[in-house]
Amino acid sequence: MDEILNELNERIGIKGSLVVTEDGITITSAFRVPSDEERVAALAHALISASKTALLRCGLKGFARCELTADYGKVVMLDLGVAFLVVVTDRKVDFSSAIVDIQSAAKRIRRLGTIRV
Amino acid sequence: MRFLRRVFREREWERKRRDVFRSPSPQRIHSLAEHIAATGDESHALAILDEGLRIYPGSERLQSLSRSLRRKGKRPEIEGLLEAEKKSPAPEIFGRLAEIYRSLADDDAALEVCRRCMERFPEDENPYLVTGKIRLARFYRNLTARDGEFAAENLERVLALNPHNLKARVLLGEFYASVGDGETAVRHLDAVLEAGPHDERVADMRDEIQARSIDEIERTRTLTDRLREISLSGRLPWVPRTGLEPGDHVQNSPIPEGGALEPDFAAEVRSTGATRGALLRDWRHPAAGSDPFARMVAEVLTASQLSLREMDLGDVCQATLTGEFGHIAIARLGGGAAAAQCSPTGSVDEISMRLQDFLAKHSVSASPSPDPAASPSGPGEKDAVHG
Repeated sequence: MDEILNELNERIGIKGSLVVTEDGITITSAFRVPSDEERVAALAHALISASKTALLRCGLKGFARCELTADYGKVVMLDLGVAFLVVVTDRKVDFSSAIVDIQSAAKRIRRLGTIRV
Repeated sequence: MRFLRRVFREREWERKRRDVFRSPSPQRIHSLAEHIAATGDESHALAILDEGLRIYPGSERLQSLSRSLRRKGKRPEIEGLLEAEKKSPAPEIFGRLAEIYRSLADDDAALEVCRRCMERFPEDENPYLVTGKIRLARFYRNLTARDGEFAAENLERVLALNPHNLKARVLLGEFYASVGDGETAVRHLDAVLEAGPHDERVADMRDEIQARSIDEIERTRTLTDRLREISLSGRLPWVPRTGLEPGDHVQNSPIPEGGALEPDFAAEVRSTGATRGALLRDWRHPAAGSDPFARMVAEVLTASQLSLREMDLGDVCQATLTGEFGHIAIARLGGGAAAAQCSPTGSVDEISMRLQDFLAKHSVSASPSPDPAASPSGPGEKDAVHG
């Protein structure tokens, strides 16, 4: 899994990526600035939980993919089943092309088999 | 012949420009600028975009094209400087690179250049000054606690390396005043007035800050507490004179009350093929009993805003959620937000852009008010639209 994330991070503009379970446990992460990892994992988990709850309250099932664009960067979150792949990128990254690599990484992680926590 | 063709083309563009600005929209301005840029006349396209951004300072569509054209124009110089950095790195090279990236509004790249410079030349005050300025501009724009902390840390570092750096002192004076720490602000501004030639502007600022009454509780609060409170309230105790850029004021303004926006929005949502939509004039203050879809949008935006700010990514401007329900596109500009849900086959990117345009068109640039009573803070009006 580390290898997949490292490969993904080699793409220009990707700052880092991680796999976090729905309970907030980080399975693996790879960031250009290592100190960011724990912080991003905790924040990503909070964001996933809050978004899922908000959707459920509105009568909608959870999301399979969530893309967020902010002033200085972007975040993509993909549902892997029991966990989420979270990717943080630069603002300049074009989602329409980067998403192919991100989805391919998600598919490879899913193929690795069951994620045991 | 070539001259005549150019004159004819410029006349045609002028006619089109007048036509677009007679009944402007971010989409129309973008199309015209894109068309002109495709012919190779990027400076003319940039002039059109600048004119458009004066009308719609928050338009993501216009900002994005403007950034991309400016970046293209500066590419040869950037490549030359990066090459020079590799061969023989010098503080001047880093300084020029950071300056170019700043002019392109590419804060991340400018901060990265400063970080490289700090690594190589730790005793050089300039990268700390540039980093401090970038963080300060971000803080004034988004009021994010992290940016405020980084700004103070870097500008203080400049003074530790060179106590006579008056630029850093003025910036720090303004910063501390803006967060309500008048005592520290006055100390910095006094130092400026003592060290340099008399500056009327600095003297006036100092007198104004000193005249503000500060109680004992206010005096003892830490910078972290002050920044946290500003980040939550979205208001500065004192608005600085400099450091704000065009469009910054839009950042915190809700869509003003009044005006029959909701029917326009309903028509916009229907025209995109979306099945439902929500327009929130102030997403931070959801009204009790509002539509569940509108409430969901406010909750997703609140969670995103909190997390992305802490991730040092700034304020969220756009979100798209995909699932069994199809797609949900959410756009935010200042205090206003718009959202629409479409089927799995719907074009979510196009809908997002249209929502951004709608907000850019209806958000006004209102000056931020240092007086909480003067800022709208009551429950925001929310409307849901079913297409």
